[in-house]
Amino acid sequence: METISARQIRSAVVGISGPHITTSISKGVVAVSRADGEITVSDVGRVIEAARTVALPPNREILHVIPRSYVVDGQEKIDDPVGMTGIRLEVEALVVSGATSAIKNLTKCIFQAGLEIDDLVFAPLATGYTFLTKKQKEIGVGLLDIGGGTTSLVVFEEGDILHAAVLPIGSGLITNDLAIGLRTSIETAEKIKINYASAIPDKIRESETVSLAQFDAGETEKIEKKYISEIVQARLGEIYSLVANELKTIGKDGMLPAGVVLTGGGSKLEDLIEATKDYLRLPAEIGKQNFELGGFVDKLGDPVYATSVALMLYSFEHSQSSFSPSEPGILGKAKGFLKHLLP
Amino acid sequence: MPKDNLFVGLDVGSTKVAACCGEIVEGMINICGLRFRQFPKP
Repeated sequence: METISARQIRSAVVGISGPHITTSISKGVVAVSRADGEITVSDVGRVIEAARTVALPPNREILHVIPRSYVVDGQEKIDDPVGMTGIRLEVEALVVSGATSAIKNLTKCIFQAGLEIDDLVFAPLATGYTFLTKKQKEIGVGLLDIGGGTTSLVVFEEGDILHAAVLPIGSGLITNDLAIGLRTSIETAEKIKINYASAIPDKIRESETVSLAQFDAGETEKIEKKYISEIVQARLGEIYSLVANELKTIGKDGMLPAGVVLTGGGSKLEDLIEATKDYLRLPAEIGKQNFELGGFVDKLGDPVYATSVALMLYSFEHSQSSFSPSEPGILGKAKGFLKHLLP
Repeated sequence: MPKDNLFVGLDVGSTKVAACCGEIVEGMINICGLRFRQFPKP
């Protein structure tokens, strides 16, 4: 990375994800401190801190406390209570926590690589804020990040995060299935998945075949493309049944008007949009950046960079006080980016 | 927060590591580095 960018890299915003990440709802209540009852930034900080005092097992750590809505003297669904007048301030917050051991292992790896950590961020949240528009988040949308080992789901509604989950299954298992089903190496299976697999076998003619010799000189077999896609479809069905179950738990199965936005390396699978529409009974699209960026932008369309770009933008947003970009469009778009992630 | 005008995002997954490096040039975020490494290497 230092060679490519010709710069010395000292620190990074690091994304954390995995099945050990869990979310829960917590509520906090405080009395407004000022005598005239006007709610200040300090009161908001205190009520979020109160929501943070959730009972967690000793092997878990809180990563984020994300305010969803405030209540002032019984008046509900307030986005920003600062400046309002009241006596009692309440908050409903989404608490994102992770296993202490996983967090320590990750941070140790980063330190051993000679890097400092600017911040540790639940990766799907950063991706959600970068790849979803305000309108999508307002009317209800799910961001599905299909990674190699895990699939992350973040659901937004009315502009707030409604739910986040990490499923212990990803597109790496499709590669493993292909390796077993076609009796090839993992490397060959990965190449077949990228170049020939489709999420919908019915779209492929029986006569279409793939010669394994093009990937491995030792192989002579020819495989039907339809058979490859049937293997893919079986595992994809499992992934989507878990996603559908997750949506059912929050009452959003088939009920997200803005549909599902797909990111991650797994989203490159051919015909995935159509398959997602069929499985989840929701509109589906591939995620696109909401930010104007310069430089190596030609590669940014590749979903494998989605999370790293989102984390970079997070880093940018949290150092805004140090810089004064003259481009108002960028600032405007970046303003408020991920501000809810930190207490 | 970064000590210089350089913003780095590091995405450590179970099967890959992706990094993105950006800086502010003339008021715009300029991507100066992208790196992706998959394990096992295909």
